[in-house]
Amino acid sequence: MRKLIVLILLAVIFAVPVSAQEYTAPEAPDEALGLMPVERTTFGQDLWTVVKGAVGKLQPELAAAVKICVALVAITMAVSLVSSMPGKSAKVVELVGVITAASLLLQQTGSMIRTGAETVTQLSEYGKLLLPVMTAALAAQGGITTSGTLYVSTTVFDALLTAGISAILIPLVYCFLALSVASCATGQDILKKLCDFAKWLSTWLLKTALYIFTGFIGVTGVVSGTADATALKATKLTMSGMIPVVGGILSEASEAVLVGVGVMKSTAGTYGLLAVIAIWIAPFLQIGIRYLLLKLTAAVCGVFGIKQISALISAFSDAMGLLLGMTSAICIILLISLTCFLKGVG
Amino acid sequence: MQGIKEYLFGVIAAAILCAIVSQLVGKDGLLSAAVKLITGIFMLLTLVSPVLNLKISAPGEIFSDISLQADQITSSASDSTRETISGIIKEKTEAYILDKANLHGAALTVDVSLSESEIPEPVSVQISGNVSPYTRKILSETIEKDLGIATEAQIWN
Repeated sequence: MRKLIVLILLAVIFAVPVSAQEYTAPEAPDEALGLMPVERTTFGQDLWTVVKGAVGKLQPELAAAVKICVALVAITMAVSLVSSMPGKSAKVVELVGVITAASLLLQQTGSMIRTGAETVTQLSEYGKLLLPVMTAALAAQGGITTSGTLYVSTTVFDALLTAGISAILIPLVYCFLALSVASCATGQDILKKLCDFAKWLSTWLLKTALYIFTGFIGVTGVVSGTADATALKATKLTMSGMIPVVGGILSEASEAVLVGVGVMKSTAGTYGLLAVIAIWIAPFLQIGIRYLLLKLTAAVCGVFGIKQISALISAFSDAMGLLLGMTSAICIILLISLTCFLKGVG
Repeated sequence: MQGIKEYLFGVIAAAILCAIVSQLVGKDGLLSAAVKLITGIFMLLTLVSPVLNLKISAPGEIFSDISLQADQITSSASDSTRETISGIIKEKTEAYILDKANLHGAALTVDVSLSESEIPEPVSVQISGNVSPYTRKILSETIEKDLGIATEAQIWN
């Protein structure tokens, strides 16, 4: 036992420090941590574990969504049956049908909007913890310009998009839903047009943000990557021009450190990628399943000839689509940025 | 952001109000045409008036703050890497000198100093221990030739 302690102490004292700083990814939030693989294998297998875990948790959500869809079909059938009876009450019946369907849909949509908003916040917060680690690791590897540019662009876009989603896009979804209900209840054209505008504006804002981000990352990545690669090449040239023994020592030392940092960066980056996907995938599937089921329900309800209810369900499925777009936009920004960090210099 | 929220809710409220008024008046007749015109002008004013008063300020602070953070992170990381590389170079250079001294049977203690330049090179060395003038001459020449540390930068104690 004493020998073992002495050996450990000697190992600690004489160990050559390959890197002074540790670059480890922050732990995923609690909800996502449950989906993360316990033991790391290949990235593909780990990703499959995350997806499998998220799909496994979908059962209660699916049951709740199906219940609402069945209720919506039942309402549409009832409205269709009553309005086909003789008398002048058809419009009133349709109005009551729209309001009943809207109240049913608003319950689940409210919770989905909250889930979407929370996911956006969680992704953004995790990004704020992970990006400095990746930036430092890439800078330690010699990508000083690339890491700085990637950090600034990702943080700025993430901050702007997160603020935009919580301050403009989420209220816009509520407005879109309010306008849809009003439009379906009153049948007014102006409301329908405003409704279309709200949907177009949300989609356009998200698409534009992603186009600008990918374009910016693409251009600056090439420019800053070239600058870093040139600087590294110049350093290597300087080393090769030195006295052989000194050049050899310098080259070995820098190689050892760069390899050590590279391994840490790769481990932190792949964990970060998995954590970002684990945060995003469960809410994405929850909202996505409702989006698909509502689209199907709208098509089924269209068969009964009650256009207002069918249009209302379709509008609510569009709102789910907008939520999917919002959560995915932040996730895509982080995934692109992390991939660029993992790619490294050059 | 609060302003944008208020603007959006204002537009929606105006649109719903206009729709209700139009619904109440009906689709035919002179009154309906007049109501359409009035609601149209009202909607236009609701949409345009806040946009005309909008003051756009450049988001300079957020960019400069994040740039500053990026500079701090990258410079601290590159300093840490340089420190680690310097430590390894110092250790390996000292081991090289001690190895050469051992070949000549000399027991020495060595302390190498590195340059502050971007690539840390050995620039001076402090050597302590008992050594014969002949061995000292040979070691001094080896250090100058192999490690580029001039004899003037070698301090023998």
